[in-house]
Amino acid sequence: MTDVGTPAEPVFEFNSLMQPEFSKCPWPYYKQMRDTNPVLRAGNGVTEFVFIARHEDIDRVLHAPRLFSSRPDESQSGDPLIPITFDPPEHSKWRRILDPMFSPREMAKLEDGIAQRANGLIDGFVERGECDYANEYAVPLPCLVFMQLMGFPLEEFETFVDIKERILRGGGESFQSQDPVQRQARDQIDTRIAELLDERRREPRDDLLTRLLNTEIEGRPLTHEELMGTCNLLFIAGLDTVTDSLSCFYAFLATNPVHRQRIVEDPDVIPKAVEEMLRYESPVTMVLPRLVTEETELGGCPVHAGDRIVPLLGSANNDESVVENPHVVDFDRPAMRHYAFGGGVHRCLGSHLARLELHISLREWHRRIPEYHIPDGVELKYAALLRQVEHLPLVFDKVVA
Amino acid sequence: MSRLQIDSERCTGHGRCYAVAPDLFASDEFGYGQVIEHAAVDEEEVLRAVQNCPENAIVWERE
Ligand code: HEM
Ligand code: SF4
Repeated sequence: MTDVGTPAEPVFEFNSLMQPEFSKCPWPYYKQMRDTNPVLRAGNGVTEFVFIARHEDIDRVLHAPRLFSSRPDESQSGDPLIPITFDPPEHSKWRRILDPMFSPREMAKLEDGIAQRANGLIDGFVERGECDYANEYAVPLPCLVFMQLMGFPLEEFETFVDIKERILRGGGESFQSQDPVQRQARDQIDTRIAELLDERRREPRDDLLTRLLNTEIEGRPLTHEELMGTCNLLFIAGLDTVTDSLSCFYAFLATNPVHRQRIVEDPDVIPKAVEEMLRYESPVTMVLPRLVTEETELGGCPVHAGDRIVPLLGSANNDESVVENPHVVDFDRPAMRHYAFGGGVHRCLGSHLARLELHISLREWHRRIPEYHIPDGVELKYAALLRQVEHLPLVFDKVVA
Repeated sequence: MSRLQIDSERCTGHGRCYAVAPDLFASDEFGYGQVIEHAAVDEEEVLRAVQNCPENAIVWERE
């Protein structure tokens, strides 16, 4: 007979990252790993990774790019993604031209537009008393904001989201990026971005596509491959991560009325609430795997040149050795150094945009829809790696006209 | 007197300092932290910034 009283202790293994159970509730896996197996070498016969869970080790890997490199496997196809697959000093050159395009000052100009878009979307469902949160808010809000900023035509919103979904999630439960579904989606976006760049060459506009065309690196314009590598990464990063964060946050707030009420009563707490929810939820599970360049050790375990390290950001952010009571979501934490946006030189380029979108969308929503819940019987499903709640129905208990 | 600085080698532009202690720090055009020139610093505010900088880039020397 099996003992049904005590649920099985979750154990992190190679496939965990790709499994919905892990994505829905990763904390016990992280804890198990930190306690018993903080540096875990695991493979499936084809690929092998070294997964790391402790804040200390993750901190080290993120801050030693020479030893733990971001450069891609030889097997990777397509133009190298800029700047994520570069190490310093090349990487720094790219950030110097990209950072000003995503600086807090530059992003602040988008504030009114984001608020208008948020309210426009809310207008579309507020009177119905319920919504399909992902499809009606978490997906369109950040995607439309980002597409406008880049200069991607807004009428193609659905096509762009669909391509992004196929690239990120089309490979199913594999870690491989050679899947035909993904390959085809990549070709499709490459073609479209190349066309749009051509259009902007002929007819410049006030958007990032145009700005990238007019940008110089080391005194020369970007090559076609460089433009594609930059736009491709921005496309992938900009169209998914804020959606993931929003859906994680609202699933949390819908089930934690005390936290939600705090946001309603004290909107000034929103910036702190966003940081704390980013820490706790860590919607982006990991950074790009880092390639070990020479024999070293990590947390006492040897790692070899050629090994691929996977730092689990959510585990670092919930590590009791650096966060007091990590399992408590406390908007008033005085000390908060989370790695939800990564750390070191690759710290998220879009973090200032992401924060602004998260702040405004929480503020406008809770001003108008202060009370809401998830209907009984709904099982939430979290996508793997980028923790998006794919279907999040919300019923409103109170709305303000 | 005290000296407040950002170690530019460590700062990677998380922007936490100027969010939690806007009287002491501002963003440069890249989003990296800059110390605002000031006559006196509020100890509590400095501490808040130090504790929120993910890169341990804020250096405060009390004399
Ligand atoms: C809450 C939302 C977001 C989260 C949690 C997030 C998370 C991350 C993380 C963890 C990294 C580090 C990857 C690594 O070290 O390998 C990263 C890098 C990056 N992110 Fe984000 N991101 C978000 C939003 C955005 C947005 C909206 C954009 C669009 C502009 C963006 C663009 C980038 C780029 C271009 C990089 C690569 C930076 C580099 O390699 O220097 N991110 N992001
Ligand atoms: S919080 Fe730290 S890393 Fe971020 S901008 Fe300020 S000093 Fe730089």
